[in-house]
Order: sequence, then C-alpha cells, then structure tokens
Amino acid sequence: MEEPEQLLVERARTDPAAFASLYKTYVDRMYNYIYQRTGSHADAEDLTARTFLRALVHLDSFVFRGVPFSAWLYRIAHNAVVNWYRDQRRHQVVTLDTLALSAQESERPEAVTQAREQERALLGAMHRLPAERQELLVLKFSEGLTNAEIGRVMGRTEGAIKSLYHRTLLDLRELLGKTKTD
Amino acid sequence: MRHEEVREALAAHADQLNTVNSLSAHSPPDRGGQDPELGALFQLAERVKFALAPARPSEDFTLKLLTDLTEVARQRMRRDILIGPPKPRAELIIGAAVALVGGIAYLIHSYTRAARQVGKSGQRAHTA
Repeated sequence: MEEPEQLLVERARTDPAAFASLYKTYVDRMYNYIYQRTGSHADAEDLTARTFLRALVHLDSFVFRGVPFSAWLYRIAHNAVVNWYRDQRRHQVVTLDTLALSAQESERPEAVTQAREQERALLGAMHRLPAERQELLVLKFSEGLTNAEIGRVMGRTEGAIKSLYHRTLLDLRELLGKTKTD
Repeated sequence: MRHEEVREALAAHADQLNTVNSLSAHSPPDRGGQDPELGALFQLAERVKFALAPARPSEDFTLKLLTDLTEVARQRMRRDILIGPPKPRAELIIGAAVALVGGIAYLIHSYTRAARQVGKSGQRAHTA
C-alpha cells in the first residue's frame, strides 16, 4: 500500500530516500510547469533544480494545513520563475525566440506550416498575458489540474479561478486580434 | 447569455478537455446550437490546450538531479547529527540572566529594607 503523502513528507525531513520518492513523484510536473512558463528547456532544467533544492532546504517549514504538498511545490516553482524573469530582465515575449527556433524547424525550415504559425502566434499572445493568467492556463491545460486544485495553488476560491479563466480567454482573444492587425 | 452561465460553461468545457486524452485540431467537438460567442471561446481554449502539450525532462537530467539532491539531503542529515539538538538561543540566555539579576537585586533591596526597619524599631525600643 502506498504511503500517505503527509507521512512521506514528514519522513523526508530526515530520510533522503523519502525525499527522493517525493522528487520522483513531482519532477515531471514541476519541469513541465516551468518549461511552459519560460519556453526554454535549459532554463526549465536550471529552475527545476532550484525548486527542488529550495524544497529540500525549507522542508521543515512546510506544514499540512489543508494545502497539499504539490501546491507548496508549485509556489516555489512559481517564485523561481518570477525571480528568473526579474534577474534576467527578460520580457516575457523573448521566449518566443526560443519557441520559434525549435530544433525540428531549424532542421527542416520547409516544415513550418500555417498551423504552426498560428500556434506560435498563440504562444506569443499567451506570453504577453499577465503572469497569473499564464500560470492559470499552464496549470489548467498543461498540468491538468481542476479549478479547486488551481485555487489551492494560487490561493483563490474555485469561483475566482473560473472568473479568472473567463477573463483570460477574453484577453487572449483580444491579444490575438491585435497580433493579426499589427 | 449571462456572465455566470458563460463562466460555468467555459469551466465545464475546460474540464472536459482535460479528460480527453488526445485532442485533434482537425476534429473539433460538436458545438451545434451553441452561442457563437461561446463557441469561439471554446475553440480558443482548445487551441491553448493543444499548444500547451506537456514537456518532459530528459532522463539524464532527472537522474543527475536526483543524485545531487540525495547527496545534499545526506550532507544535511549528517550535519544535523553532528550539531545535535538545538541549543538555547542567546536572547533567551540574556533574558534569563537579566531576570536573575533583577530577582537578586529585589531580594537584596527587600532584605536591606527589612533589616533597616528592624534596626530602627530596635533603636526606638532602646531609646524608650
């Protein structure tokens, strides 16, 4: 039978093997979350490492109070991304360059189709959204979290997340419209 | 359509998208009879879902990071064992010392006053 996560987290404070178990459970999710926010595999690796190192160092400060361990990890990853943007003084649209130069396309430039162009425009518009809206879309569509789970990660109610999602789609549509007219 | 209805419809649609394993851009779900405004937002949500296909880290990276983290965790554990249980903080020691000195001063003061009173009453008795 699988060990309850709360016990595993408590054990991880003194047992490296238990921390390794938590790491294996969450590394793919954290990496994906960070990658979708930065658009770069190299930066995703760097920030994933920082996220887990920080989690290890501050594990003693984590207390189960209705917030799951994953929500705590997402907060650390989110802060790592925010600091990354601030420290590098990168604007969110810069990551488009990385997206535009994906390995596949640089090897076969003729394979850039209209659908791919549209996807690129969409990703560009998404990266121009405010950080919390980008976070919402990544948590919802790339991480597959429910509204209640997203609410716990972002410290909001389920209803607030639904409203934010609605506003995000409207803003995204507007940004896409602007891209077309530019 | 009311704002709340749109909000709920979008949320339900997003949940539905997450339960579908693979989304094909060529076969969008049937939206017959829907509000065109809502239909356009559904379509946009589907494009976002498609664009945010999950990315996975390389196996080399995950293994190396696991090794590094395990080593850091072991070092921390060894250090905690060497340091032993947490020692009282300096502030607590200073506070306790101040309280002790204050207590002693109070006792000295009380005893001195009591001794003076005893002395005075002794003098009065003596002069009387």
